[in-house]
Amino acid sequence: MALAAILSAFRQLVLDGIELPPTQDERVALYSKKFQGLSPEEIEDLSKMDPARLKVYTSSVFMAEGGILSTAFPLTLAILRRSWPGSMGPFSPAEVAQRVHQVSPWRGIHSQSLGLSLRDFIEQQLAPLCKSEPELLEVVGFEQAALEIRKALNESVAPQSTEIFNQISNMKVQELLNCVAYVPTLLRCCLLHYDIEALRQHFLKTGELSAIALRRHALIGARPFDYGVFWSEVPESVASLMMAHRGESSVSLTLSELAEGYLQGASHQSEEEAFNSFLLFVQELVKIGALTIMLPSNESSTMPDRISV
Amino acid sequence: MKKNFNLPILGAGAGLRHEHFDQILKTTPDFKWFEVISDDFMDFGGYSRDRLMQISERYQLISHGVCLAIGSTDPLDREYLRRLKKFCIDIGSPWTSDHLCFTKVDHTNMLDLMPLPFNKETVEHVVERVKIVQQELELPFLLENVTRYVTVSDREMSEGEFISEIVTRADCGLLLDITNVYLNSQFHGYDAQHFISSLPLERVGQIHLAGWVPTDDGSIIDSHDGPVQPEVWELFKKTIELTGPTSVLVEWDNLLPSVDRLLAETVMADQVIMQHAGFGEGR
Repeated sequence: MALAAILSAFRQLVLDGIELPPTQDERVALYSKKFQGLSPEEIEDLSKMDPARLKVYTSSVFMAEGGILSTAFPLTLAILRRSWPGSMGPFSPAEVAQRVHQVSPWRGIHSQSLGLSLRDFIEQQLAPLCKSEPELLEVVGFEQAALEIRKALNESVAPQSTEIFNQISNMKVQELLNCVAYVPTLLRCCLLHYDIEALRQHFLKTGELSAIALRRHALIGARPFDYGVFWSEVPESVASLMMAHRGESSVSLTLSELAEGYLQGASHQSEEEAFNSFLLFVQELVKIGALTIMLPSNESSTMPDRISV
Repeated sequence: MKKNFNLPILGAGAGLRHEHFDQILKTTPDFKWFEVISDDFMDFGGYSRDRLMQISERYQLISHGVCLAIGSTDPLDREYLRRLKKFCIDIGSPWTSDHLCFTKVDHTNMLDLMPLPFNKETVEHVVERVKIVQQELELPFLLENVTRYVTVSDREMSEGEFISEIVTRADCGLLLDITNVYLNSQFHGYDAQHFISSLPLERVGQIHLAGWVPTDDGSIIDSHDGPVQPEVWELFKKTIELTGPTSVLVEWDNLLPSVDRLLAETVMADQVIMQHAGFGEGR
């Protein structure tokens, strides 16, 4: 199909960084070599296109993609800016986008899939940089997870407000532990070796990158009923448990199972202290939208509608 | 066919942007309707989506897409169409539209509205795809003419013939972007009014107006970052005399103005409709 070949040639002229000769004759010669599936008439048509006008598309595409990357991956881009290899020319988000395209073209229509391309680019093209900025791959993974949480579809089981705390604090221990909890599909887990949240907080406040501390820990992120993306540090055993129970199609998770995971390896002086600690932990998970507790006595809260605010 | 592709006439509305959500919900300004970029919302939840649904309870929303890629030779994404249909139902959009262009090929997202070659093969290809789109969506569907900085091919037909043949044979509506016509007339040296007169104007279900700010070197691109320019207002007046009253949308997507400034642009558009197309309803 000639149309497919023409559109493909147009894509290459706009996105692939081909140096376009100034005269039409030179372009005919170049395109004849490069696009061998096209007829002489099609080659002539394409060669009539002014390279300067084609560059309007090139700039528009990579400026826009660079803008998306800057918005969704601010920390990653700040690290890239700090350590951008001189061999890749001056740093700019548009330049990053163009480089990303050369390694891993954007396959989807959402920023999440552009993020995956960014990660591919970093892994494949910036190995030396990853040695001097060893946190970089964790940062891009963390920002990708945050993006996926922020953009995720609403789920049929809504996050709860803190009003639920009054209800659960009046429950007997066994009653509470028997409760089933919903873990949203949008929940993400990051197993980290660096304190990326501290780096992010500092960057948000100052616009500067701070030194990063080594710290192995697990974060889970979710979206509470009043929006935003929030993270909480959890034991790795809990992170695995919750990831395994995400979404409606999974086997139900009871608070008793969660307590077992939470208390694994922890030392508490008494059962009461352990329970109180667990209760605070559950409240934190509810607060960040990582857990919705199904209260057996209240039908409306067993499968609540989305809370409108 | 009656005028306006048999679509309701909503008067002048504006493009809805995230940055204006809170003020619109708080002050409920006197907009007649809003156009929503379907691709910004249909696959997402959270704050923006919930705010959008609240706005849909107070205003008529019309869906407009940028990612359908009707001219692409990649397979038409039926799953995308199913999600788009659901989105239109969710927001109560009586029709939807997208651009006569391609935005992906070789499974690569090109992000911008890329021009198609004006030839018979492309016409056949797009007509078949529009028919599928209309079957899947079960909603009136409009194609928008795009700004193009280059001509990929016009040896078989002109742009006007290309657009006319596609919308007529596919039996879809036309979203006539007056700014795009004006800019193309400047880029490619043709008479904008003559171009518009050559189109099947009974299929124009909606009109777009947008502005631009010239770049530092004085050149212009379709940047949607300023008020509608006088040349475009003039062309709009002449067009609305031909089409009669039509739903008109002011697009202002970058360097966003205040809600009041945006509203003022739609008031101006409404005044043009009333003065030049006998639109009887005042605000």
